[in-house]
Amino acid sequence: MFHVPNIELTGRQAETIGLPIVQRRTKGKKERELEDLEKAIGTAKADFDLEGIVTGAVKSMYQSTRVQRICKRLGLWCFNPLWLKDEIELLNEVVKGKYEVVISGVFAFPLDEKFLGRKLDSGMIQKLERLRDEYGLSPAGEGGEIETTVIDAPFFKKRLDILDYDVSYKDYSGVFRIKDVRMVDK
Amino acid sequence: MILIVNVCSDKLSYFEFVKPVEDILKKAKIDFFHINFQNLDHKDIKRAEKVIICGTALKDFKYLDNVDRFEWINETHAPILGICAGMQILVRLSDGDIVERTRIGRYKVRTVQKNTLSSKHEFYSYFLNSKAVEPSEDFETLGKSGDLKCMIRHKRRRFYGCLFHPEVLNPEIITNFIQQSAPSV
Repeated sequence: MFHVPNIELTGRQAETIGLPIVQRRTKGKKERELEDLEKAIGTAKADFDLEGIVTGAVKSMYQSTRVQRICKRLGLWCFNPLWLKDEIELLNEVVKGKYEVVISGVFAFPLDEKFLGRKLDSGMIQKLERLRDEYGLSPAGEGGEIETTVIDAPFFKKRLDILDYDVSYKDYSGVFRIKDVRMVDK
Repeated sequence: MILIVNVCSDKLSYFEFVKPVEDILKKAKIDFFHINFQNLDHKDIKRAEKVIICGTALKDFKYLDNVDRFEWINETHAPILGICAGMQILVRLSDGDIVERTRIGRYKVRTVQKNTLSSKHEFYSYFLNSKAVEPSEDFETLGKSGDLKCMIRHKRRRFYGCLFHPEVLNPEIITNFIQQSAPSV
């Protein structure tokens, strides 16, 4: 259900966006992890008068239905503005919108180590498009094939500069782990 | 020209419930225009050869509180496809009932009557509803999901309703509705 690589960085992302963040641990066990998510969202509702959730679900029915059910139970609005959007169009909008995104996880054949840490740019989008046509890979990683980390966005007050990282990779599965960042003026 | 009626009370929901329907029409090279139900006037309705009334967020019931804004449906000769909220509006205007019933996710639909929207006997569809319908006798059931009447057709007028969202897993239902020419009732 959850994005894992560089999840620790969400604190720094929230800081540079200037929004409060609610962080909770979960063991990540199927379906049980949803109870943990529901509790965390319930905390956000109570502490910050949260009215709704906006997800980035594009095609994943597994994720979108689970968030919809939690919102229904908690009486929250649920919005999925990227729902069914063309994935290549979406990736191009991300690049055009001046988001700086690095590939922080690969979990499918034929994604090799060279993808890890690479920035999303037009060349990478073309590569992902070819892999979609050839192997049926979801270019936006909706099947969990790819995970990404945002290090700059138009609404970031400062960009995150990667100071230290390590890479682990074996059999088409790997992670680009960001160990240290600093916030720099834009 | 196809009229797409947007019933969403929040702009963000447009991208989730209306744009995917527009994308299906664009792909099929079918001309359309979309208008929020609150801004719809007689000229728009007159322009429409067919009408699709889209769904909206689970928590959004503004369309039901303003069902009088849909009374043009009683006068139009254009075929209408109501999706989720749109189906509820068609049923409410025909003296049917809206009942509390939540269904979220992918479920099997079984067709119980031959129809022009889907030629499949069984198919999976995406549901996102917190209300369902008990149609009046003006409607006949075309498809069920368990005991849920999820696909209906008006007996005398070319009105169709899908409680599920065909734009997610069954785009052919939308293109079949648009491309059918003769009255199928």
